[in-house]
Amino acid sequence: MEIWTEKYRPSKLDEVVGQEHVVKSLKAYVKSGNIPHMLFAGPAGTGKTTCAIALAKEFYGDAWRENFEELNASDERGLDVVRGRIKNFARTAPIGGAPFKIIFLDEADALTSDAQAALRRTMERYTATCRFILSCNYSSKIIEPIQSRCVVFRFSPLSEEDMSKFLSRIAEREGLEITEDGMKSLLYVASGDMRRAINALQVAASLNKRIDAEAVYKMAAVARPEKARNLIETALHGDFLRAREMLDEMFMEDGLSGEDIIRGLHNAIFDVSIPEIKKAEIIDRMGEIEFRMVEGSNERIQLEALISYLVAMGKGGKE
Amino acid sequence: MNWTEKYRPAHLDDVIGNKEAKEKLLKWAREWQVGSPSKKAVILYGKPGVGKTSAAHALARDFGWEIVELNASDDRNRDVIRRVALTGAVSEILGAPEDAMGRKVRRLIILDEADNLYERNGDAGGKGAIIETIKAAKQPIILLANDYYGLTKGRGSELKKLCIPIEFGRVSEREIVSLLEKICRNEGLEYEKEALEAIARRCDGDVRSAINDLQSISYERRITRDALRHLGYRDREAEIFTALRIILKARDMRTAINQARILDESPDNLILWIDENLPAEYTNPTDLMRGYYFLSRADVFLGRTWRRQYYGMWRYAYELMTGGVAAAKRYGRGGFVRYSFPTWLRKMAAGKQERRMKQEMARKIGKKMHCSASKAMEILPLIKRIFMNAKMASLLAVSLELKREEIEYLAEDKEKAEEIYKMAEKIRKMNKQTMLFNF
Repeated sequence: MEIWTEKYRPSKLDEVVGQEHVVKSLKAYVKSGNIPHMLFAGPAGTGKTTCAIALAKEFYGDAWRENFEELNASDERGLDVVRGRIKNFARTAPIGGAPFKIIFLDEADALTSDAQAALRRTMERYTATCRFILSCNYSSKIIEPIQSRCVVFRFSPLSEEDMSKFLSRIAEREGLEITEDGMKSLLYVASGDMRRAINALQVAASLNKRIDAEAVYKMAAVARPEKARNLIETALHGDFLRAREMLDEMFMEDGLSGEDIIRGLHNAIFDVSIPEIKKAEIIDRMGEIEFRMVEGSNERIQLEALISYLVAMGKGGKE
Repeated sequence: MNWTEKYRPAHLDDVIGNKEAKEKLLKWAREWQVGSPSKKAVILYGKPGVGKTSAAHALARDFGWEIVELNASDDRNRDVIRRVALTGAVSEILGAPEDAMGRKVRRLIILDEADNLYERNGDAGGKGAIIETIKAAKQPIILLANDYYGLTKGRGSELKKLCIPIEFGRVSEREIVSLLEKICRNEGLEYEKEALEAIARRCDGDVRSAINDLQSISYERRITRDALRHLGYRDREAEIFTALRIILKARDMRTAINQARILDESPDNLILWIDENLPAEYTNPTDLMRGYYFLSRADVFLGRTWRRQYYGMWRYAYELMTGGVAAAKRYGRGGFVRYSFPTWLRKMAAGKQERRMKQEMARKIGKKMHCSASKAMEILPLIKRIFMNAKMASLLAVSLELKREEIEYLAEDKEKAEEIYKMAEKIRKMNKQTMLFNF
C-alpha cells in the first residue's frame, strides 16, 4: 500500500502537470548539463517538489538518490542542523561522474532572515560541489542576496482542467470510477492544491470504488457546499432554529469540527445572492468567530452567534 | 558553466559601473605599490550583485597580487580569522618580494560578507579579530559587505577609522544592457533589444541577477520579451499596479480576491500597496471610510495570524483587504488613476540606514554629554534646531566630531550641509594649528 501522492508523483519533467514554462526551462538545463541555483515560488501543491525531484531523476539517472538531498527548513529550524547536513552531503564527491549535487531546501521562507543570511554563506561555500533549489510560497520572503544568486521560477495555481485530467489518470490506473459530482467535489476540496486532491481521492477510494461527492465530503472532513449554502440561506430567511438544526447535523452526523464548518460557510457565502458589501461584513464576522474558536471558545455557541448575525442581517439589520 | 563566472571581469577596467569607486580602489592599491598606506584596508559595500567581489578579484589580478580569501565559511571565529588572515597578512613573503617588473608581490586578503554574523553564536569575537588583523597587517585587506552600518556598528565602529569606505552603487540600466548585448553576441544569441532592456530594468542595478536571468532564458537561442514572460520575469511594479487596478475597481468580491490570488505577493506586503493607493481611487469620503474599515479589519487578522501563528486567519485578511475593500465602495471613480509605490515601504527601506546612523550619532553625542545613547536620542531634535544656524552648527560639528553624512542629516539640506561642513573643516584646521602653536 503506497501513498498515492508518492506513487503518482511524476518522475519525468514531461509528465509534470501545468507549469509549462518552468518545465521547458528545466528540460533545457538538463540538456545543457548545467543547473543554476533556483528559487521555486508558489502555493502548496503546485509541483515545486515534483519538479525538483523530476529534474534530479532526469539529470542523474539511477544515481539521483545519491546526488539529491532534500531538507525541510521548517522541520529542521536549527540552521546548524541544516548546515551540518549540507556539509556532510556536499563533502563527498558527486556519484556517477556528475558535476555537482543538488540540495533541495523546502519551505525556505520558514527561515528567519538571520538564518537566511547564514544559509547564503553556506550556499556560497558549497557552490563548487552543489546546486541549491529553494522552495517557498512568496519569493519576497527570501532575502535579496539569495534571490540575486538564484533564477526565480513562479509556480501558478493549477487549473481545474489540469487537475481533473490528472485525477482521471489515477482513477483509471486504480480502477476507480469518479462521478461528475465526485470530480467537482474533489476540485472543491483541493482548491488548487494537487496534493490535497490526490489525498482526498485516495481516502474516498478506501470506502468505495465509486467516487461520488458523498464519499469525498464524508472522508475529507469538509462541509458540503450545498449544505453550507443551505444553512446560510435558511438563516438569512430568518429561521434561526432550523439553521441551528442544520448546524448540529453537521457537527453530529457529518463529524465536522467548528473550524471545518466555518470554512465551509465561508466558501459558500460567495454563492449566496446578497449585496457584496454584506458578504464582506459577514466574512469579517466569520473571521472573528474563527479567531475565537482558535482561542478555545465553545464552537457551537460561536456558530450560533454567527447564525443569529445572519438572521439579523437577513432582516436588513432592523429591530 | 555559469555565465556569472564565465563573464566575471578579468580586469578592474572591465567591471561595469561604479567609476568613482573603482578609482578610489585603484588609488589605494597604487599606494601599496610604493609602501604601506595609512589605511591598510578598504570596505567595499553595496547591494548584492553590483560588482564588489569582482572588483576585488580583478584588482588583485591587475596588480599581480596573490589572494587569500576568507569567504562563506560558517565557522569564522576569532581563531580561524587570526590563523588565516593574520599569518597571511603579517608575514612578508621573504625571498620573492618582487615580481618581474620590480613590483612588490602582495597578498590580498579578501573577507567576504564581513557584515554577517561575526558577532553571533559561534562567530564570537569575529569583528575584534578583523580589527586586530587590520592593525597588524602588512598586506592589503578588502572587506566586502552589503551593509556598511551593520559592519561598523557596535564593536565594529573602530573599522571606520581603520578602513576606507568605498560604496558600490546600482549599475545603470544602460551599462547593463550593453554588457548583456556583449554576452549575447559572444554566445551567438539572437536578441530583442527590448528584452535586454526589460531584464536590466527589472534587476534594479544587480548585474549578477541580470546575467542569471539572461542565461536562464538563453536555451532557446533567442532572447525575446515573450521568453521573459514565460519564465516568470515580469515587470513587478506594473504587474502589481494592474492587479491593484482590477482589485480597487472591482464591483464584486470574487473578482478582487481572485486577482490577488494570482499575484505572488504576501498579504502583509499587499496591504501596504492597497493602503497607499486606496485614497487615490476612493474619492468619496464615505466610500473611503468604508474601504478603510475593511482594510483595518484585514490588518487585525494579519496581526492575529502572526501572534497566534495560525495561518487560518490569513484568508480573512486576504479577502477583506481585497474583496472587502472592493465591495465597500458605492461610487466608483471612472477613468485612469495613477498609483504609486507604497511610501511606507520606501521609507522603511531608507529609514533603516537612517535609524542606524541616528543611533550611531546618539552614541557619540552621549559619550560627550555623559548620558546614554537613548537619552542623547532625545536631544537630536534640539541639535537639529540649532543646525538652522550655520555658525553654531559648524562649531557643534567640530566638538561632536560629526561626519559629513551626519551633518547632512541634521541640516536637512545638502547645500547647507556642505557650507557647515566646510566651515567646520576650517575650524578644525585652525584648532590644530593653535594646538601646535601652544605646544
